[in-house]
Amino acid sequence: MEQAPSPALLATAWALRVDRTTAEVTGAFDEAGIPSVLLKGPVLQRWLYDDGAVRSYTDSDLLVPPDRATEVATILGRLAFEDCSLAGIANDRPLHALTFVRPADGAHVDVHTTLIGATVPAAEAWNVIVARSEEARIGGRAVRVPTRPVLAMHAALHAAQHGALEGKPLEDLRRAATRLDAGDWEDALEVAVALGAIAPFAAGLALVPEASDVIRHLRLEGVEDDPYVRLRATTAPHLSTGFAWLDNLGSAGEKLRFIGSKMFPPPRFMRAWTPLARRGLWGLALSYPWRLVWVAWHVPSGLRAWRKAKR
Amino acid sequence: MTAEERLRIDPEAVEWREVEGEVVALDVARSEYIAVNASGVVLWRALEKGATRAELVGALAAEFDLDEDRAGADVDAFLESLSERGILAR
Repeated sequence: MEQAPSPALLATAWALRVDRTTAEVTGAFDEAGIPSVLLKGPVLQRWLYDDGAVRSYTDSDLLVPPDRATEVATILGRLAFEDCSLAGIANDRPLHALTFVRPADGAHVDVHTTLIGATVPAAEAWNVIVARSEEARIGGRAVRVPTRPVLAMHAALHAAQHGALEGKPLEDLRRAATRLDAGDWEDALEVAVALGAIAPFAAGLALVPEASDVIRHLRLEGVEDDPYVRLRATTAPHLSTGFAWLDNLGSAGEKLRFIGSKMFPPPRFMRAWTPLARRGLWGLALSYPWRLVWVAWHVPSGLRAWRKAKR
Repeated sequence: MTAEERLRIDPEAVEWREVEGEVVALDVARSEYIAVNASGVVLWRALEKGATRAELVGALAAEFDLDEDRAGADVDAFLESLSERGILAR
């Protein structure tokens, strides 16, 4: 009996498919004159996992100019991708990325219009990143990828986004911390400043002991973070970041619309949120009481985490 | 194919990586995975850099302690399968 392929072989086989999807999609973008920059995935694999370890990835993360996002969605639609983003909540935080999935082959593309953690306008964030990008061969074609300081900076933001309990972003950052020299880390800091992302940059670095020298060298001790960054860095429980956002909304009307929309999201959101809602009209109808139960279940832990982060 | 002709894997035609001593390869045009066995990995590594038939036969014979005729037959079969897929460049 043949031995089943190891997880590493399976992960690599899937990664090769993802690279082909990246090549296909960026090729279509190029034809439409839409530039893009590939974040994470094979770029991190090649730089940080060249010791034989396998870094699995299952989707293509592409940063595009925010003013071209609608065209990008149209192009992806023509390639048989469906928009599966958790979008449509009134007064919600702007999404930093939209999720597209192609049912025929499970190909998955995340279209980023900015980097999570960046506080400058998305158009400015795009200019910062694309100015610090270079060409690499991915899936058989030339694709723009970030330079190493940007990759390292993004690894810190990514770690801060997912927090202390998510292994892969932390491992990326651990490896980046030991491979990038002081000069490149200074460049990474410069990028974080340009993006208005100092707080999550510092919070991410603080999650891995291997970056303690980097923190000292860049004098990031005592960088003030905000409760939202703090929440994320501790792997925020469900709804906690929603409470943080709610706190920031101005008027009572905005808060009420946000809460109402969270309790009763549009059908498109529900279909992206739960498989139940994708099972025809009855499934969609049943998903709404399920949503209420789910929200009620997670409110106490979310509220506790938010209150703790605020202190 | 001449004796001095250097053959190599066409990087435009195939995406591949070496993992745990095996080669995982994707035929780009057909979107099909290519299974490369242990002897194939030896040849694949040589073809990545470019090699003549003689060099491939020598590498295989040395690695698996084969006589030249046997190694030559294996190399020719391997090269033919790659050529049929259009992933061999000259």
